[in-house]
Formats: sequence, C-alpha cells, structure tokens
Amino acid sequence: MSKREAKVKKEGPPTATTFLARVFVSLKPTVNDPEGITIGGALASLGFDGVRGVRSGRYFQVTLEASNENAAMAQVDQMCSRLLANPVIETYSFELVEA
Amino acid sequence: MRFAIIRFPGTWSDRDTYHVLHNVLEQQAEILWHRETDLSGYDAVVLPGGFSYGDYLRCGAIARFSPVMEAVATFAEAGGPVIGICNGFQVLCESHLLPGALIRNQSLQFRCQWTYLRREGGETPWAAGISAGSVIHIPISHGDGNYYADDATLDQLEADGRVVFRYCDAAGQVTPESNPNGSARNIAGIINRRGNVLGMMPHPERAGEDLVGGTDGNRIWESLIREGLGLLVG
Repeated sequence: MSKREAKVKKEGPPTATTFLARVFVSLKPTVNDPEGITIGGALASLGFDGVRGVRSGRYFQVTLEASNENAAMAQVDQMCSRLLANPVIETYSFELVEA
Repeated sequence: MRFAIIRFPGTWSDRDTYHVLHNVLEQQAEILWHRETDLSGYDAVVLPGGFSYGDYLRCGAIARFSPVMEAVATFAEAGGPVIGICNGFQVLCESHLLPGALIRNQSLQFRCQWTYLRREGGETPWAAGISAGSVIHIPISHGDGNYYADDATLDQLEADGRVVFRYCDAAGQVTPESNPNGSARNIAGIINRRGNVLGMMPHPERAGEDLVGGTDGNRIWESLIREGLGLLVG
C-alpha cells in the first residue's frame, strides 16, 4: 500500500466489514406450492416412503459491506422485504456471517 | 385515443398490442422504452405481456423498479386508465397497484390456449361495453398465472365488485375444469378500487382479428375507446 492510499484510508469513513448474508425465501404455509407437491411425488416414486411434505423455496447469498453487524442486518432485512421476497406470498429468514 | 405501450427488456406482446390498436382499431399508439419517465400526453397506458427481465426472481419483480413504473403509478393515481396483460398484470401486482400475486400454474405447465371469460361486476372503463354475465373468448399464454390472495383479500375484492373476469366454460359456468391455472375463485382479471387499473392474464391483443381466431379482445379496447373516455370525463 502506498503512502497516498494509506492517507486516504485514514481520513475516510470508518472501515467497513464485509458480511455474507444467507437468505431463505419460502412460500407462506397458506400458499399452495405445486412445485413442492410434484417434487414430493417424485421422491415417493423413488421409494422415500417417509417423506411427509416438500416445500420449495429460494436461497440467496448476498455479500455486502456495512459498518457493523446491526447495520448489515437492517440492510438485508430491507432487501428481503422490498425485493428478494414478496410479502404477499412469501416469508423470509436470513443469517449473517462475517465474510 | 393515444395509447402508451410500455416495453421492458423481455416484453414480447408490445408489437401485437401496437398492431391491434394502431392497424385494426386505428388509434394512436406508441411503444415506449421502460426508461421513459413522462407519460403526460397519453390517454391510456398498456403494460403488455412477456417475460420482463427474464422472469428472474419472480415474474414482474424487477420490472417494478424500472424508471417508467413511477410514472405509471402517478398516471394511475390521477385516474388514468392502465391495463396490465399477463406479465403486465404480474408487474401491477408486484408494484402493489393491484392486490395479490400470480404464482406458478397449478399444473406446473405453461398454458397456451383459448379460454372463456365471464364478465362479472365492477365498474371499469376497460370493460364498460361488456355486460355482466356475458362470455368472451380470449387466449392465455403463461406459466405463472395462478392468481393468489389470502381469503380476506379475496372476500374484499368480491364485496367491492372488483373481480371483472372469471374463467368459465362456453356456457358461462364457472367450473374447476374451466380454470386453466388454478387461480383462486377462477379469477382472470381484477381492478383497483377506482376501476381505472385492470389486470388480466388473458391476452385481448391476441383476439383482435378473425384471422387469429376471434375478435372478442377488441371489446376491451373498444370499451375504453367508446365508453371509457366518457366515464372518465363524466
């Protein structure tokens, strides 16, 4: 790192941390999931007699920078409610780790 | 009338719509790229069918954030007539201009077929010329047209008379067999509270000439052209 870069970094905003958010989106229990039902049928035909239900969903990995964990949580929550999930039909959850 | 037809990346029915509006019904129509932010000077806005943004994430979910959608919301709030067809209906739901959502067809199959629609209640310039109880014949073409809303929302839609079209058989009977995609209560089209915004999965622009199998779709455009403007002005 050159002297100039070091100086810029010192005067810039507090160092951001990189986080990895693992986001899980699934259909609400009240929403019919024909894809899950079909996959469940396929599992049964493969001989998995114990399968009692399959619900399909989506999984996202979002890498983001934020000043701290709380700020990252707030951002990811907004991402989920505004875009990654449709609250009319879906619910979401996520976990956050330092990348 | 002057129609604005919005083209998102992946829209595919814009030119069909243009053809019917301009060449068949002899209206002014323009196809606008989704980066347009000014809809003043247009009398009606069409969000056509297609696969905007490749249907990535959810159908219509990305198009909702296109620059033009803010202008569409403003246009709708001012009472301007807006119709969302197929993917356009999905975009209107994702934008919360209409309630509910369109999910994967019950059959998991893409359905491309003619359907019968029964005109239900609901005051809207888009269907003012179609009397309640009458049946029109219009094709569908979608993989995600299964209308979903929770029971409270569905009850409210029914109570407000906002279900405009239901899938039915040729005789107008609403049956499970005539439901092509598993839509709640056979719903094919709904309006907003004010009635100026209509969302429907079937494609009226593909039933505009006898050559393609029928002209019932024109009854929707003609409703707006002949009676709708009067309704809006009055």
